[in-house]
Amino acid sequence: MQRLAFLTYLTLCSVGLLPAQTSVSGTVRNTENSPLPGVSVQLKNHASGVISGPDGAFRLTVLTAYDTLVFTLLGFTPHELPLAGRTTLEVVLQEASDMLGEVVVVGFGTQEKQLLTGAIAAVGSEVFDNVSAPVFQRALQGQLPGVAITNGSGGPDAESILRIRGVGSISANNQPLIVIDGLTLTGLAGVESLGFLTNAYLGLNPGDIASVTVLKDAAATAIYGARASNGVVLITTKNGSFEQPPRINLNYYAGFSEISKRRELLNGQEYATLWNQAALNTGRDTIPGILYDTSAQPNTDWQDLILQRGFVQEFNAGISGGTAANRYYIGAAYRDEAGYLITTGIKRYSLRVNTEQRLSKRLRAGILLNPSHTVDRRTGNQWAGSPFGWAAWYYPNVEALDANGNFRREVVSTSNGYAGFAGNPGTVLKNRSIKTTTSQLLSSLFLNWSILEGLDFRTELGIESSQVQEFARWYALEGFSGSGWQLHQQLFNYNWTNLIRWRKHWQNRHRLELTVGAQISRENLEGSYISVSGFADDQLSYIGSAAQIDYKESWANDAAFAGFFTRANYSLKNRYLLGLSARYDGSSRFGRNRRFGFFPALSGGWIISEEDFFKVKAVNFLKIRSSIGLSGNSAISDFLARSQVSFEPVYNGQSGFRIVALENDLLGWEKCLQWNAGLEFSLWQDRLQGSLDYFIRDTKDLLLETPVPGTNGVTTLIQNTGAIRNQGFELSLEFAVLRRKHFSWEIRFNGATLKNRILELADNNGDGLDDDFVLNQRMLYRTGSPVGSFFLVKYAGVNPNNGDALFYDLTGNTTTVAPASNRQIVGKSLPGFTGGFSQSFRYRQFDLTAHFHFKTGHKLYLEEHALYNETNMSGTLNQLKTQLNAWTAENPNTDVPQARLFTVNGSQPSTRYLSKADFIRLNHLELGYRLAGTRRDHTNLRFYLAAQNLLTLTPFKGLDPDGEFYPSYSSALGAQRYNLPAARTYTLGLNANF
Amino acid sequence: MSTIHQRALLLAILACCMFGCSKFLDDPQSSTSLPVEAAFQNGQDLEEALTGVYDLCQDGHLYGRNFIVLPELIGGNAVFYGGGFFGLEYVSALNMTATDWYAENSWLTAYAAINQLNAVLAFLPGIRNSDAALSNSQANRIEGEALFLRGLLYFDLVRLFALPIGLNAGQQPGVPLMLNPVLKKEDFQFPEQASVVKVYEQINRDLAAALPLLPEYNSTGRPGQHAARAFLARMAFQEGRYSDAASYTEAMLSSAFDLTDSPQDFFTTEGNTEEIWTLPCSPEDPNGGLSTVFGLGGGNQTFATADYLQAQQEIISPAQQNALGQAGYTAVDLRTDTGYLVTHPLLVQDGVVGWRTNKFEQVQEESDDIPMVRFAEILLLRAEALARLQGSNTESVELLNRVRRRAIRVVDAGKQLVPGGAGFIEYKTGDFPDANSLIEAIIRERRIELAFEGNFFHDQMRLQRPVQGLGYDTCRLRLPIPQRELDVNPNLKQHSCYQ
Repeated sequence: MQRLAFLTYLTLCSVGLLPAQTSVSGTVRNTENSPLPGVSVQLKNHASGVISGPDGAFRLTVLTAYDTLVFTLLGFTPHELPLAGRTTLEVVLQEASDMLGEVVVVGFGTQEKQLLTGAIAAVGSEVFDNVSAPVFQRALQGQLPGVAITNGSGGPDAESILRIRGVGSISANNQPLIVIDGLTLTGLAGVESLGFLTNAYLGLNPGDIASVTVLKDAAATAIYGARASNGVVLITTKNGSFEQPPRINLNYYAGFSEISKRRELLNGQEYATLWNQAALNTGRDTIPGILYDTSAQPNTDWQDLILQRGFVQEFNAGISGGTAANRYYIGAAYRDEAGYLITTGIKRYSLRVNTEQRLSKRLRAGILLNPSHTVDRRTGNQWAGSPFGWAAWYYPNVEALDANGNFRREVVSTSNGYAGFAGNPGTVLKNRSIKTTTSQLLSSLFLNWSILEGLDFRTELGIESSQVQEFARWYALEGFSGSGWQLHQQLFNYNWTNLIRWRKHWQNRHRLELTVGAQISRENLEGSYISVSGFADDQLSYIGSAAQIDYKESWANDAAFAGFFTRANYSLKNRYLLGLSARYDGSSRFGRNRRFGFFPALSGGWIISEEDFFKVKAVNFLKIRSSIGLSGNSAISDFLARSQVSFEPVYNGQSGFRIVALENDLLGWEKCLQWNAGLEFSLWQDRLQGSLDYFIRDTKDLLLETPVPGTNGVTTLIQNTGAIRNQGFELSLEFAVLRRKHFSWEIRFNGATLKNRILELADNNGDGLDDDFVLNQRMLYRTGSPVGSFFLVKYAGVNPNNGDALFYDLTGNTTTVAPASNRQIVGKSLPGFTGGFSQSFRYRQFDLTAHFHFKTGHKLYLEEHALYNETNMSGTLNQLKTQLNAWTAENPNTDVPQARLFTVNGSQPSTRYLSKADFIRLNHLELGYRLAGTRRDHTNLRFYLAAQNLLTLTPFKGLDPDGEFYPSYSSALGAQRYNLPAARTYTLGLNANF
Repeated sequence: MSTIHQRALLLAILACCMFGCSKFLDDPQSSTSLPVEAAFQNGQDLEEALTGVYDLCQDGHLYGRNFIVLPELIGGNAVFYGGGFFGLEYVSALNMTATDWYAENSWLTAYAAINQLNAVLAFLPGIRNSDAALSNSQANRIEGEALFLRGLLYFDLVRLFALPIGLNAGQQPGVPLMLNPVLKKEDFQFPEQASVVKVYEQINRDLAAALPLLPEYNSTGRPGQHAARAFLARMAFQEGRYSDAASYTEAMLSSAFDLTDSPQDFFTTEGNTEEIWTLPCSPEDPNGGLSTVFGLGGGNQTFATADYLQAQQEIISPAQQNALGQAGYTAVDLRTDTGYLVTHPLLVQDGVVGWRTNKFEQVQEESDDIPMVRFAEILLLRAEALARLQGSNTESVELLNRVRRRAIRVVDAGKQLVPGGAGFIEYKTGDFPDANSLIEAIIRERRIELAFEGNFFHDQMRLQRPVQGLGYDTCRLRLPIPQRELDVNPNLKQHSCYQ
């Protein structure tokens, strides 16, 4: 706003006031060679200056031919140019793609932030640079309003769950579309084995990122049409500027990590005592040998044995700059992280070359290359068979180590003879080697042809290619010869985009930007998996050395998309804004006659503060805007519409097929109609800036996969039916509390509310009513309720007279049984309020930043307690210390039922295992010190001390409220089963720029 | 180039891109799946569909684990104290809930198999006419196998999910009967449970219709006529139709099947003479957990119950015991010998806690074949049927002795086989003054001979005898109707104890 005012000022007063010494003239153009009118051309350190004319030409007088000129224009990087004796200049201004205050990246282009009519949130590289995050999503937690990010698990390679403006789909994927430098990524670069999917973006170095823009409303997303209804995340990587001297940036940090919370489990003696009690309570003490001698039990703390102090180091080096004919960024990065579980860790090597060349006056070309190589030493992350899960339920009353201090490789029995098989939580790590290597190349190529003044044609080809190799070896244990597997997966995805862009300004009064384009993309994933056994020796690593093949599998995904799109942005007098966009989009995933969909959007804005009548002095910028439009979702399996039988079965050496789905050639797009109203403001000379949005996002014709009676031979039916509404407010504030020479204090806040409600569901049984359905036996989908409401029997505690677990029936009376017919809605899995805030202080050379993020209003179901660790010793599994409080005649007033061996007493699914999951977490704390005495502005040396995940306030009963067991695409979230809690990391870093 | 030309070129580029698109979207084709109508084109396709069903049968949710393990646990031959198969301890303790994972998966998998069989049966008549390469005998065999498998699946479903047919004349709810394929939404049904007797009528129709269509001896892993007779006999037993059972089994006595030399051989030798029908498994094509649940070192505490171990002791009658004692000989039952004579015991000790079966011991590879029906059972079925029809009779006694001679060895103190020692453990007609005493001896023999193969529970149900100390009609002896099914199908009824 200040800038606009300044421009106006200059326009009015730019008459040569100083004595003419030397006259300098020239033309200012943009990188597409179009003349730029309205550029402020100013003599450095002087008040004198002019504005370029409609043809981009300027002329001004300078004091000497060795002065420096400063060129500034809204939306472009300010450019300083020493005259060095020249009197005529050809100046090129760089669009300020990485200057977020000025311009933001939008779909297929950039836009001046102040002229935006859509709901867009963006962050710059500061969010990623000094934060120890293996993947970019983790650094984004709590940074953007309306963008809720949850960790799949705490391991470095775990998935992240992104939800933009709630959950719009029940059965199709809810993850947003992710686009990097114009290349639409598939999200398929991860690998699924060991019970979970690894993060598809592990190969992407967060340090390469210049900005992340999240497109939220229809005005912003409709240009991505049919894949945009979950929102779009645009990642722009770092690049240099034309005519910029080389700048080198070095950043290194190193530190250690630890588990943020451990489980409180029974020790050997406590376990034996509770076991005996449980056996006695069910009369099983008469079984010979079943009771333990509690005075002589070994004691093993399995968590102790599998946890370690993790280590992390990351090095980023980059050089950026440019000449009149090119610009570049060349970077290299290395990350080495050892997790807090022994033997696990990742190593990532990545390079980046982003460069752009002026080939001729009208032609520019560029190439962006990002090869990376990631080695993931992994293990199961979030299930009962994972080491962390196993450590939680395995016998504590056995000896873990042999005489040499190694984990025992034979069958280990408790003193009463209860045996596992050979293998334990320690051998699952130490006796196995699982190495997943991903070689990825992200590349794009573009050619830009300035056909006429303001008219450009651009063609872009982007390729995502990755190769995954996973070698796993399980070394021999008693009774098991060595086994192993090899997984190979190849991903190839290309986008080809052709754009025509036309920009026209009429005397700073009308501005029109028109984009027309076409895009095709094809994604192809092929993989195979072979598992083998019978290795002669543990030294042998590869499957060729095994005696036999145990299992083999292969998979292939293939999808094609084609779309035609257009966008027009018009502004009148820089205060009345109008936007129009549309995309006609097709996908191979749908039935032949349902492939194409049309997704239009309309938006408008009014910059009130530009009006003459607006005279509120404190408000220097005020804009209202609104949008409405349609986007779609096609994120279902590639061949759902066309395939019903699957060729996997094998029997007795013959191969066969199996019917797995019903005919559904009528399947088409899931559509999302979204309305958005927003307000943007800036007060007191930008001291307080912010925005407020309200949205209503209605998804209809859901790609709804409803459970059907399994007696029909299939368990689900997918069809376009049903509707969901998400609505909420989003607030974003930046407040510069103090700005003094030696001290500054800034506060940023963002928060979003979410109200989610199902409007309509399928009526499969034809009774005229929407059919409710329940997923995972407790997540209810019912018209009028939020997606994923918890549907459980209410736990009523323990009968003090006999230790029976009690439950409420629907009339509120207590009973000892928990039939499903007594289930009721007891909470929701979607947070109602999410966001984050940060405080930044600077005092002389010191700076301090604290970033918090929070989610509230939701609950999580602790499957790990329900199935394993809080079942009051109903089986052989180890229990949490809480279970020592089980009912006894001496301890009648408790909420833990009587321990009863091999008997369900209170471990039926109920609210006993449902926990509030609200939390606020100190995500990132960083203290920096900048060395004084640097010679030039951009030269500096800064040391910093950072900590991640230092503190969490939560009533949650599990380990980490910010984790999720079910896969990221699902809408039936809200559970944990042995998720690794997020690591707490402490790092010391050094950042040098020169 | 003039601007007009430039624009024209641009438009041409865009136009090319657009016209290419509809074709472009056709290009991706699945390489692992097909639409139903494309999958059922000819006789070979029907074979592949059947193979898919056999593969499901081999799955852990059906015969590869649950249909054998669950009745053994519920029936009280075996007890599960914990391990990798979480939740089996509740099945074992008759403490299941309606959300029981084992019951749900068995239900869903069985009906998936049934739907595919229905599809085979529905497509077969058309393909018989259209596919010249499909011979009549091959088409008959396909139809026979499909009918047989459907009958078999309903037989196991109804015995596990419903009350026994002997109760209330079978009028209580059985399981839903699905006899037509569901291939599109319009085919959907929300069926209620057919009565137990209706389900049995359907099983009888399917098996009886399958019998003449099947070859007498089928290829490996496939049921032939004798397998159909065996299951018809088993079903007749459940219904108390003993003369039918006697005639089905009579036809099998002259077949090529015979007992193996020792009880071990059946479990250690593939393709032996006793296999009437077995589902072959291999490391590449494993059973779904049968070996891991029962086997030693599989991480599951599955032990023989005290009740079963007691029953082993009663195999040699007191009179036989007496005679052996006087002669200074010992009778060793190879089925329960833990290493005195045999190198491959069928019962092994696990720690200090107990004993477990060793019939399925390939815990790493899960490659133990799944025994569906074997000749020893046929001998015992016929023996009991005749005893019920004729009272104490020589043929029954001889059939019973045939099984005992194979299983029990008489040795002297030096572990040497006693010539003619079989005489000590064989029964004589005179040992059985009435039908009942003979029948009891046969039932005792069945429990030991067929232990851990999924038999005992069903025997107790047909005999209306208690298991785990509970009356045979006790609700908790049934698998719960899966809650997921009740959630989506209001026409189903849950057993009272799971409500």
